[in-house]
Amino acid sequence: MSQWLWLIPGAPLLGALIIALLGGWIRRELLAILASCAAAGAFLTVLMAWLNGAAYQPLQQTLYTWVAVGDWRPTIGFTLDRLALVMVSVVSGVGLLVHLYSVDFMAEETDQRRYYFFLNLFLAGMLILVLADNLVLLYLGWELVGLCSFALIGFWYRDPVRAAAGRKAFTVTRVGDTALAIGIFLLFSQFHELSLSVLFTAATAQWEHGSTLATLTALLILGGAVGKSAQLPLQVWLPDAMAGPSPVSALIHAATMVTAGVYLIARTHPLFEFAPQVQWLVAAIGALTIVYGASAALAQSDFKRVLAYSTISQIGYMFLALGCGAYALALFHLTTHAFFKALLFLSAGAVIRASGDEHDIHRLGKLGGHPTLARWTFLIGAASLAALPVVTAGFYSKDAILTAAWAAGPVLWAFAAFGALLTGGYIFRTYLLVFHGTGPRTSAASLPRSMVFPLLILAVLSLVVGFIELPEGWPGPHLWSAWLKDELGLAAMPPAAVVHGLQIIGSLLPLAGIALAFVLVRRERAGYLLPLTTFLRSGWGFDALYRVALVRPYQVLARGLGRVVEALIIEGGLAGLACGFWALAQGCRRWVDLGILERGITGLVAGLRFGHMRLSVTQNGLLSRYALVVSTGSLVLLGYWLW
Amino acid sequence: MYWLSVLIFMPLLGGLLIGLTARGRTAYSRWAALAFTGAELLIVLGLWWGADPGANGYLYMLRAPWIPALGIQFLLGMDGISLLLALLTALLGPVAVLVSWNAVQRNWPAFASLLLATQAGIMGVFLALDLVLFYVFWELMLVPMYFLIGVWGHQRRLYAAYKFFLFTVTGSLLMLVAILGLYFTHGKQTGIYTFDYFELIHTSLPGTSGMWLMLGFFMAFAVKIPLFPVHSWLPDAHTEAPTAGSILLAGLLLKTGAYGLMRFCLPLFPDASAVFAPVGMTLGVIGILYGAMLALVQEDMKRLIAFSSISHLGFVVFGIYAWNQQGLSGAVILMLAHGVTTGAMFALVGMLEERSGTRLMANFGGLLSPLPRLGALLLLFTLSAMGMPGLANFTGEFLVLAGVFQVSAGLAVAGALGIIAGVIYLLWMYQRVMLGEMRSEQTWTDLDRREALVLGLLAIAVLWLGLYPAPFLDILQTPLTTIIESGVAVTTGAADAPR
Amino acid sequence: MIPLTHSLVIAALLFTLGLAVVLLRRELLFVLMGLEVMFNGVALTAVAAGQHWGNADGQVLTILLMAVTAAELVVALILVWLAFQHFRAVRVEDLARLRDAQFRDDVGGGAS
Repeated sequence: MSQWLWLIPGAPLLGALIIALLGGWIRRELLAILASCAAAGAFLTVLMAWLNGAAYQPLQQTLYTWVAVGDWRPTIGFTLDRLALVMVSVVSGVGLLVHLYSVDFMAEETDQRRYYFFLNLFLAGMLILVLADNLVLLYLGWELVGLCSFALIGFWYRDPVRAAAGRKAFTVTRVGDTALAIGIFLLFSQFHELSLSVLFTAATAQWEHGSTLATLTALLILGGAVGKSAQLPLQVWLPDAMAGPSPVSALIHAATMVTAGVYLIARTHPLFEFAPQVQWLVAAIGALTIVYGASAALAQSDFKRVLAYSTISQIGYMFLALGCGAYALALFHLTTHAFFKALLFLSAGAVIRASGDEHDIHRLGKLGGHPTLARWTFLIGAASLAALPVVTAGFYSKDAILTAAWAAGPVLWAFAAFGALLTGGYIFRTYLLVFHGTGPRTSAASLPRSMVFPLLILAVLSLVVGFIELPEGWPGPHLWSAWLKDELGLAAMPPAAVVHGLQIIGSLLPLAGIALAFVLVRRERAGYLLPLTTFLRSGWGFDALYRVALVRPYQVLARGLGRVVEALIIEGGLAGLACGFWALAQGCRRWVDLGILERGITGLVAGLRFGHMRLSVTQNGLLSRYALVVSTGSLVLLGYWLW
Repeated sequence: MYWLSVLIFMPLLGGLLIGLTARGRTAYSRWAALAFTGAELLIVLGLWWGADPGANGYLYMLRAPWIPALGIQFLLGMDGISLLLALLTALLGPVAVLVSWNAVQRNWPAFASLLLATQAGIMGVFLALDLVLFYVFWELMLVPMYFLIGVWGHQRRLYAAYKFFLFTVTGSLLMLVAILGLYFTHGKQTGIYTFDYFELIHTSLPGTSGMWLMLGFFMAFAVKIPLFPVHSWLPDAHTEAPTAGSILLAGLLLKTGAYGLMRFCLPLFPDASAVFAPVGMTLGVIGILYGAMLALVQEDMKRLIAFSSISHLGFVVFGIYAWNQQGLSGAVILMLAHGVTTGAMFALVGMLEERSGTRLMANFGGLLSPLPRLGALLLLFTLSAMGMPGLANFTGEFLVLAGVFQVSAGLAVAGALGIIAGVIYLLWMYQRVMLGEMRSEQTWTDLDRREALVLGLLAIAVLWLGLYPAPFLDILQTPLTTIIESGVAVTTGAADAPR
Repeated sequence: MIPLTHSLVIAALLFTLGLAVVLLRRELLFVLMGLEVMFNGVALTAVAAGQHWGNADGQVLTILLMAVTAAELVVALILVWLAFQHFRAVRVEDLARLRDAQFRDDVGGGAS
């Protein structure tokens, strides 16, 4: 099986290549099918890996040596261990469903070739990122997904706002990426090696617990993760990223790419364990982001922006789990989140598309007549997101994280619990506003089949995936943590009595949130606005802050350099040099030439003039006269030598 | 190996032949120039294929007496570094011919012969191992370039050509002085008066004399690279030059400076260079950030790319003065990558200019829909320029930063910030040109077969360098080790010696 | 065996003759002829000296000299022909274009 590992990223990569090179000769409808086949190829290979026992036996394949510099030879190689297996399953699974969904969703677009090229390329990049066995290859995948995200956010590039959103996403994440790159260089300068397994061994042997170096490295890696996963303070790009098509938002900006940061920290957790302060920081960032995202989502009026802030908030849960050392639980929430958030986005996409590209939730409510299926699947997704107890997958993953957070610190738990309350509030506020508005409930329009199928599968998964890991102390399977224990370890859990208490509170919070939503919606319809609405709607004003604090100064600095240094100093310096030279020449003329020569030695000048007059006689242009002088001169010289 | 002299003299004679026989026949001179540059490429590829590294890393050598009385020889040598740069030179030759196909309107025969002469001069610079011969080629490449800019350039071409010439000639004269200084120092010490690189490399330079001689060389190379305070000729020359001229300038001429640093500054003056290295790296990092900043405020696409060249060449200098295996390998790879990427960018701007008659970004916008293929390729090269992994520049930048990080983490971080700055201005350019609303009313035609061939060739090179650079790096290891050993001897020797 | 002195005397005579022609005659063609006669005087010296020292260098030099003279003569004749064509000049004073400006009117002649 190992030798087929390359096919997982290879299949979509091949698809992208074919679309890029031969896309012009392929019929438009076939492009979508080709791209879906490529995604299916990746998914089937992952399935084959499961069937061939990859769950217990890590697979490894080295393709070739990327560079060989001195004794350092990073390779292009893939490793499929349990962590990677979870990720590739989620990525290729959701990826395949989104491809299928796109077949009809994007059917009317003219530029399908670009869309499917980047969608396939994204899938390939994400799978490379997950499978990479060294940091260079991981970084390649990391940047590749960033690029595809940029290209797909700005898919409708003729709208300058959308194009700018893509650019913003790329630039902001690139800030994080550069931190990651510096972290990689730091590791390289330490160990002269970037292969993950070797790095972990070397770090364990050489680093001390809590050393500055370990802290710095972990911080830099965290910087990369924060940028990609849209956590505070680099979260500003994700809400704008909703300018892209809905399937893209579902795949890239909800289910997979934005969780790459979570994956990165889980993957490099041996390094993080040497830096307890950074781990604490991860948890703190997670906790803050939960509340940030949830509160901002509460005030949004754009359908997709609600979901975007919700994604920020939910990834905050994963970060919280990572910071508490509960890596397996973070991964668990990542998986369930991938399903229910993709479901929410795809349902929202179906609604928006059916109502003629209307994004405002209030107006959507007035419009009504949304596809029935989308309504039900949205409800399922919303329930799972709000973590409705017992029946939804989101409950099991989020409850476990809440419990682990209590063990790490009750303050963290308080943030997470408050976030859970708000989550129920904002998502059901949205649900009620959109689907229980003043418009008609029923709709004649039915969704195309290729959109129905992914919605149904995701709906089922959003409900049942949680059952593989029931809360501690409950009867039933506890497969997840046990299976990942060898790779990711187990998180510390509070005593059993506390756990039960927390579970009861954890089950009540979403219900309270839903009640809050009912109250909110009723008052909102009556014209009441939340306190701080503008502040919350703008995402706590981060955009404005960054514009004033970073973007403007940078532009001013660049312009200033352009004007001052380039124009004044360099060009001006040159001009000054020229002027100085000119002035020097002028000075020479005035003081030396005119001064000394003219006044002091006028007589000599006169003499020279006189001599010149006389000698000019010889300059008469007569050849024979010249020849005579030459021969006389030669004779004189000859005579001088001889005598 | 007489093939080395064929590499130099074939384009030279080819240029002469075209100049003498074409008599104003445009098509003939185009095809002849293409044939000569193509043959050049084939020969270099053949040399690469048959490369057999000798003990000292030199794959091919050619030694013939020239002016024995003064110790001047016709000494050509090709090691891994020269081979790769010769390969780049040979690759950009046909590219330059093909992009000028319709863009050059008048006097194609003269254009072709000057183009070929420039190529011959650059090839000579990369191969010469006798210092006088090196100097001859160094000046030889200037003159035809001056005419390329001055005759076929844009509006301010005369000013630009004049500035270009004055800057570079001033640098070169300092180098000539340093060459003579080295020659006489070596002669006094050993009694052998020679310009042979392999002899001079053993010269011991006591006191500050080494530093002064090194600075003489450095000035010439710094102007050519160009480093921060002496870069002012480059934006003008790049902007005013015809497309092919910009490609040769950015793709090759700038590389001769970096190559000179690597081939001459470091091995000839290891002590002085070791002292100078922090300054060199600082100048490099200033160049990186300064170029990236100024690129952001440009309106003219060519000027933007010119400033981005300053930024990228800053990385090259950065890597060279890191003086370790990663840094130097990265610098060479980045030279190749920058040559290909920037060459392609200039070609693309040239194509846009051919279609619209302008290079100002304000006049473009939304061109992706009428020009999907051109837009896609521009995206590819833009991404490469901003250091997207899997494309050419990343390999170089990654290795350079990995190398510098081992020497100075602070400088490496500053350099890494340059990558962010790169993203900002390149994306801004791409958005203004390709995305958004269409601003011009004219009808556009997408790439034709000739243009697609040129860009396809360069795109393959970009992908190859990014995805599988190992074949290029393997061939570099021995020569780079030689350069590094000269530096290591200094640092360890200095540590041991009592002061 | 001709004694060296004889040859040298002949050579000196030839040279002086040539010089006299150059200095005294004003026609361009005669000046050229005078030059050639001077060349021959020098060549004769070289050959004679070579014979005297039993060395071939003098003969080698002479042969080189003849070749160079032939080439030079070609160029010179063309110049004379061109001078005639452009300025209608056959005499040296017709070609006084390098004279100092202030004497332009003093000295007669010129291509008017």
